[in-house]
Amino acid sequence: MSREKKERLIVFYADRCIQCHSCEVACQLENNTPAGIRLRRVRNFEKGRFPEVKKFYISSACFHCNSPACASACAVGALVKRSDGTVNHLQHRCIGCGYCIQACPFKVPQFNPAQNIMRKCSFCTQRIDRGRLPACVAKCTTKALVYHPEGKIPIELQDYGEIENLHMIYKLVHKAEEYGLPVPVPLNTTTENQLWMWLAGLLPAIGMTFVLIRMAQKIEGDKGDE
Amino acid sequence: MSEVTWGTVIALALWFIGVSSGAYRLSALASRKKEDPGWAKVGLTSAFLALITLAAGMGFLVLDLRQKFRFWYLLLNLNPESPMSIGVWFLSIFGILCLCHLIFWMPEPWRKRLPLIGGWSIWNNWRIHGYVAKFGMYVAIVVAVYTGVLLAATSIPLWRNFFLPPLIFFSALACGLTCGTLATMSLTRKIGDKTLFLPLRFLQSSLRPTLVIMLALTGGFLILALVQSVTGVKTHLISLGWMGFLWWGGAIGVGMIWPLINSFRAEKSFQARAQLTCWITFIGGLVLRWVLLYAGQI
Repeated sequence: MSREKKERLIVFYADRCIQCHSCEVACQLENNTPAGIRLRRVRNFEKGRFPEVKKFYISSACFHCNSPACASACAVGALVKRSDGTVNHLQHRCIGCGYCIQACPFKVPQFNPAQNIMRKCSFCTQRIDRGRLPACVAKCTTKALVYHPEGKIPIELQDYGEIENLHMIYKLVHKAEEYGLPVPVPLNTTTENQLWMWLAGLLPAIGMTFVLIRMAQKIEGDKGDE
Repeated sequence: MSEVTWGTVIALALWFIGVSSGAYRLSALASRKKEDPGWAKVGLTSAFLALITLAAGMGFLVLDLRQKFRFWYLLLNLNPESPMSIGVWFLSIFGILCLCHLIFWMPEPWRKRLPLIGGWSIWNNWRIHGYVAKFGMYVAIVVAVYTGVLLAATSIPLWRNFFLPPLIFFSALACGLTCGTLATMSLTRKIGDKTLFLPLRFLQSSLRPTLVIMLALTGGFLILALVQSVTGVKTHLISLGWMGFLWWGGAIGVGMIWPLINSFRAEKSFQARAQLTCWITFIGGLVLRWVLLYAGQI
């Protein structure tokens, strides 16, 4: 599948990751996040039984979805989808309601207690807009994280997130489930479901209101008869 | 276990907003029967209650924000894709309607004490009051449904359930009806007050179908949650353990089945137990929201 727009991508090559945590540290330094808040996180997984145990790693952050649920849910416009495909978080607008956390199917946004707002990976837009690499990519020691400014990569359909046009693509060695990734890639339920949820609530509600009005009239009538 | 983002404060906010919407609807129904002294009492008390509980609900919503002093940003933006944004706008409109509705209900001497607006002749126009009550009733419906959609339109598997918005709506209706009646009974200070005969009869006959529908919706909610494989685990959470005890015993047993049994009692017997019925329905609504909120996030 080819992308029509020139959108920015980060591709993670699972076979190259050695769990050095350089990306995590670079991200924390760049974003000045306190301990415990990790906008990029390296997680490790194990497969098999001793002595044939295989260990593998994944460096995960915001997926910068094509249709981001967080931006749909945000009531104050603090999360913005940019034309280059990245989802930016405007910290000065965030009210810390936590709705983006509930909406995100990957549970990416986190509260930063030091700032009292939500934080998420912003694709280092402050760096890439000046022609620099995202901090995690710049510090990756084994080139497991690769930045593609024009979205042109040798893409295979089985790569996690490609069909759904995510902007963080995973080239995995094992099945996506084994890396703790949700399969299939979840949809933006905030926009997909909302209309039906409103209808499911409003139709019986309006019906019941008419029943109540009739009921009140009937009771009045009964009193008159008595 | 995952971190709980929305806790008791949000459960209280959703509950108060639901109570407000239900109380407004009771008051709006009463505005059609102003001549009856019982309905007049219920109408005025419920109108007060709708405004107070709405203020409490909105207060809790603001209290839960990590950046409390930025709450007004919500009023500068309208994101039609966000249930929260839609809800905040409807809550604001509902707040204005609640205030107008209350002023319409106020006895003239009270109204005259209000600065600036108290002397307006519009408040004596019953026809306009009728329009405000009617329009407000529809806005109240949207506000009650919003508290359900706010949860249902997320990615939380337990909440992403088509039975949740109507369940929350009917719970809000039951809470509002009982809260309005309970407050009126408490203010009249006479349990056997005969002027409340008609409103209590209305409560009995309206509570019955509301609770039956709530029970049916709860059943549907559980079945749908169980058949969705991911949600199965979460459904297990509200079925067993201490949260299961709160769900089955508090939200369903005390909040739905007990008041339903009471509503089938003979009219006089129901009126004697009306206060108890109101209290248990009212508390059951809070437990329902609290359990749903926590079970979804844990």
